[in-house]
Amino acid sequence: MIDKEIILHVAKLARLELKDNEVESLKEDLGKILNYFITLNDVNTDNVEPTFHPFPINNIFREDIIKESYPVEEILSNAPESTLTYFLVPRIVEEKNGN
Amino acid sequence: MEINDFTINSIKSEYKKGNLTPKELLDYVFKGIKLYDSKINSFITLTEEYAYKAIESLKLDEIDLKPLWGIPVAIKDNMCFRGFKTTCSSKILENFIPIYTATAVQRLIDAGAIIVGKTNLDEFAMGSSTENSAFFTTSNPWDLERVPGGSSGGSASAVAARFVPLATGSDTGGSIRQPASFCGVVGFKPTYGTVSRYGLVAFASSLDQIGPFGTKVKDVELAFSVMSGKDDMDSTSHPYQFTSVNRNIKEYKVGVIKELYEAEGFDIEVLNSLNNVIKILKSEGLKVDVCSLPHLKYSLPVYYLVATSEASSNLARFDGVRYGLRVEGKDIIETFSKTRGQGFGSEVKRRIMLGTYALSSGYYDAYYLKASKVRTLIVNDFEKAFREYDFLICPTSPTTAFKKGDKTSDPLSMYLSDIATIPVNLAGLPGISIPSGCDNKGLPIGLQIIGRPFNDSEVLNFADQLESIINFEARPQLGGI
Repeated sequence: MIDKEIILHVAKLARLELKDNEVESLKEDLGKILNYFITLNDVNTDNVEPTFHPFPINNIFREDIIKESYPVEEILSNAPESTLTYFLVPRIVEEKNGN
Repeated sequence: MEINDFTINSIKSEYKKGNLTPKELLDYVFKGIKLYDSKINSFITLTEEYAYKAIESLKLDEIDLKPLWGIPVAIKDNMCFRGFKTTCSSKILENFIPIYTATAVQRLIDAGAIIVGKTNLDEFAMGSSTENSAFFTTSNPWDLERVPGGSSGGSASAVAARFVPLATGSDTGGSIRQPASFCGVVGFKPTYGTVSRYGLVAFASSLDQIGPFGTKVKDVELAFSVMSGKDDMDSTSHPYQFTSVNRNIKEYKVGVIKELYEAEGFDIEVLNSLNNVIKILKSEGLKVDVCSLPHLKYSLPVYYLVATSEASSNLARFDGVRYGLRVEGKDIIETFSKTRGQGFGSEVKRRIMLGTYALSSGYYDAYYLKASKVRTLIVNDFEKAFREYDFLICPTSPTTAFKKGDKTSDPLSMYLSDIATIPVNLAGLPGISIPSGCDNKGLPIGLQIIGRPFNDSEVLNFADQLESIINFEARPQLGGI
């Protein structure tokens, strides 16, 4: 069964902040949807290989040739925050002395 | 100037005769949009200035070399077009301006097409009614109270309203064919891989396919011939080479899919229309039988587990770092979570949650893996059927266009409107929807024709001949001039 705890755990995995009312409606919707999907258990899939792609694709190799890329300033043009040639994000590694 | 037959051939022939210029046609297109699009809401962005500039580089002596010379085209707003916003109808990409152009779009431009705007969709192409757009809902030109279908509802309605003769859509579970059916136009989902997905904002990578909308089969065929073919930027694109087929319709063998004919939930008028098509085919001398694909009834759960799993992975890139919305949090994790929590709409969140759940430890085998195995059985069913039949036919959607708001509170009932299109994506097959008639409310009904993989030309050839026999001439009152 899908309970609040599962919803919050999955939301954490998905990096998705949810409001209380969203948790409630997702609990109900996902419960209903997954319940309907239980019909798949009726199908015998012993010895059936899974299909992950419509047609067989193997590793695709190409020559390792250096090509021109997009200019850095263009790549950065859509960034919410950037400096010089970098994307700016909140600090990830804590400073020494707990600052 | 009068344009009654808004097809590519007739436009090009008027150009050649000197009765029409690309500028006159653009005036006509933008005038139509300005008069009526406030009611229909097909477009998110108009590229008017670009379009008028682009026609300046058209040279009349190249008209026979460029298949889409001077043809106005609308682009679904999940395909990148350099320098113009590509929003995916989402708040998270509201201000995103791509620095490159999708291969399919570039190929249309190279063939002489003129991009006139970007069309509305369900956010990230997730939906069956275009009610999930973060900006506004598109209306069906046949009845403004009703949805145009989805997720390519903006493109389908723009063609139905005769704003443009041609538009692009993307189809993950029916997002070209179902809105084509609801809007009374032709919508073609080619074989997986025949059109490059480079520059298409990914939803479910093993299912997504770009394809065209038009008022006639010949127009979507022309657009497909231009867009298809290998692209180095998409390693899953196929070295497909389009060649047109000219085989008499009488030579084909057609199967009617039992599971999409006898199933509950299909409107009687939709089935009557299919019966009428069967009668037509038989009177033309074709062999038509009912055939069974027993695993098709599991398509919906398989699709929603596979598509949401792939979506949860593809949409991980929207984290507020490199592009799109950013909502600051106290640390990087909170920044990700807040950005995604506020940037995505409810259907997108529902699907990310479903997909993350289906892929999470402890549930992977029971959901994602199980679904992928049943997918194999569905593919096998099609393979078996195609040993006997050249094409399979069924209604494109169980009903005609429904009213806005009718299904928004119940995701499962919304999902069911794609029941006839979804199996085709799971197997990567080509499928086309053509109008086959109208119901008693005057709303169009779509017929779906499904072919063997890479038999796209045969599907188009069959659809073209059947289209001539059906001779569907109705069009919505609203739109065009």
